[in-house]
Amino acid sequence: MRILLAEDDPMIGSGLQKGLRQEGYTVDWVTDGKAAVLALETTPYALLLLDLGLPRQDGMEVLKVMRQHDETLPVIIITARDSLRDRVAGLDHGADDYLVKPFAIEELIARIRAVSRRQSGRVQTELRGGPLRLDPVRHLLWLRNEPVSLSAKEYALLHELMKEPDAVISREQLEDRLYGWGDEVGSNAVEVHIHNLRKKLGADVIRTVRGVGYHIGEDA
Amino acid sequence: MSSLRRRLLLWLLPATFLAGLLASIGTYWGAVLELDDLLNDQMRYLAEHINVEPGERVVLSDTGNRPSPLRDDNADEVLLQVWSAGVLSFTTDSALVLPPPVQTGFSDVQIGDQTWHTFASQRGDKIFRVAQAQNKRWEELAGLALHLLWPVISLIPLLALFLWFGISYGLKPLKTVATELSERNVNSLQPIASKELPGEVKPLVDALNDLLERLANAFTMQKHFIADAAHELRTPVAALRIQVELAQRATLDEDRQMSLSELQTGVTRLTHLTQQLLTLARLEPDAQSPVMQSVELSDLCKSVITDQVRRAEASGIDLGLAETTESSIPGDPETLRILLNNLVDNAIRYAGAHARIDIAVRDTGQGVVLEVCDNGPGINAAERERVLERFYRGNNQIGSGSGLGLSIVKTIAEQHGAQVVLDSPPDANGLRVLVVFPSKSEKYAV
Repeated sequence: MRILLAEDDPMIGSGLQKGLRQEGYTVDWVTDGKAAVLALETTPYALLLLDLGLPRQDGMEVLKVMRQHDETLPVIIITARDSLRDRVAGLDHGADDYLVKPFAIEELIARIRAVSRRQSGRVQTELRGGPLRLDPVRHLLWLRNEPVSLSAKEYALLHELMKEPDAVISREQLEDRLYGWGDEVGSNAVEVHIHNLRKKLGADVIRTVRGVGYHIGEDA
Repeated sequence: MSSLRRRLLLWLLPATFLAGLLASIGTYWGAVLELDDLLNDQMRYLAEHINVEPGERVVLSDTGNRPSPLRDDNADEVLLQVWSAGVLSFTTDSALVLPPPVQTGFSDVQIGDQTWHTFASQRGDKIFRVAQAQNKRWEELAGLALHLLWPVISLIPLLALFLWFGISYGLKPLKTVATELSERNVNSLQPIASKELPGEVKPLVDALNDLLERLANAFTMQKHFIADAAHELRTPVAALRIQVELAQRATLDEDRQMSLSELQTGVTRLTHLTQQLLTLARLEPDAQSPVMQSVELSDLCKSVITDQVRRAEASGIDLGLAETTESSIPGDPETLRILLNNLVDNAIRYAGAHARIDIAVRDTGQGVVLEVCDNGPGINAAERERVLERFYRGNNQIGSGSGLGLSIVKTIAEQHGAQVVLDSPPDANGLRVLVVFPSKSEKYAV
């Protein structure tokens, strides 16, 4: 899951990027509002973490512009502005959640999960698809109720596929969602991960639709 | 607009007039009645004691056989004596012996413990003397006076009542203001309505309103300051919290070390911010004007450069004194040092590595100018006003400033009646900050 982090404070920015990466998220970090708008135009993100006090273009402006363009991307505002007015304004201008600094990374991650769950119209935290069951909170996967251990990238890839069990997701889309700016992406990185996953889960669990992409196969 | 005087007089004057009038009427009637009584008594006495002796002579008869002239039923007795050639030839009371009169006119004669008030008049060789017991006289007069006092005394409670209500009515506007003030809560600093107030109270209420307004302004400023400060403190605290969490989670020693060094930076930054906030908070109340003494600016510059040169050298910055004239200004050496320290600190933070920072003191004739000039990126003209605001850091954020430095500079400059001007050096990039202290004559003219 690829997240855009718009935060001007270097220490908070780098800390959040690191913390979220440890959780398996792909995080791109921009430090001003203009850069955030530009990044949103060019890259498909799953979520935006938006600081309000951004230089060059205020976070609230970024949010307004986004929503005016009918951008449905979930947004969590992270800010030091804690007044009722600011919080109400933030939510009313289209933010999905509002988190006041200082906060625990753990809480931020829980809110990210909650927002993306709501975005996909689910209430269950667990994802099911074919013979698989995935717990995004504890990063656990079961194959027919047998736990399977995965690497972080394998988990992230499977998570992407399972979020939309009926869709077919292309290799390019997966690359976009799994690798941030500056990440070294080998030309067949996704294939390698798929290959490894098939070895662990069996060949039929992830199916290839030739020329289109991948999806989770129904349990036979 | 009414006045307290008018309000008070509205009740008190009529009350005084009425009381005076009633007292006068009472006294008049009292005096008339008392004197009437007195004169009646004397008439009665005369009528009772006039006798006709054989030979058609009218005489006052001898009351006779009265051992004491002080008996109550004879209280109004008047004694008549006729002396011829020092011998008593006639008396209305033979029991009473008075010495022969020495002179004509009024005199007091003492017999035993009784004083007689006498009047003697001489006709031919005869002296006629009329006497009356002094005690009796006093009693009569005192009675009369007492009766005359009554109307006045009995009017005092009435007058007091009038005064009570009159003063209450007159001072009601004051009470209204007092009640209004006492019913307020601490945060209500709205002005007191002064339109309907009497002329004597209005200046007081206006002065109070003025004070309230200044208090409200000070409160608002403090509130904003606290809100700003809370906001600004949150960011570094948030950063610290995130780094602590990362350090706790780190499984690799390398990661933990990295978080700890980030924490170190964060704590330094928070310390700087706290320090700056405290400095500003101490400067902020403008009531506390600094103790002015003569400050030699060039000495101050040298001292600040000495303090900061090590930090400058660490970034490869060339910090030095470019130009200086001996010029002392009236000021507070402590806050002026903070001012210059902040300017130099800013220049070191933002001018970038290997920059050049020049400090200068000039006497322009119109005032003394303290100048800190660097050849760093500078601040574009549009932002120059805003960087003097609290917590404004500018768009190109590098370094770890508190956003308070220039705001502190501005506050201190204002306390010294000085002006802060930001521009760029005439023939180069960079930022030039001028603190213009007015010349002495100008300062005192203000």
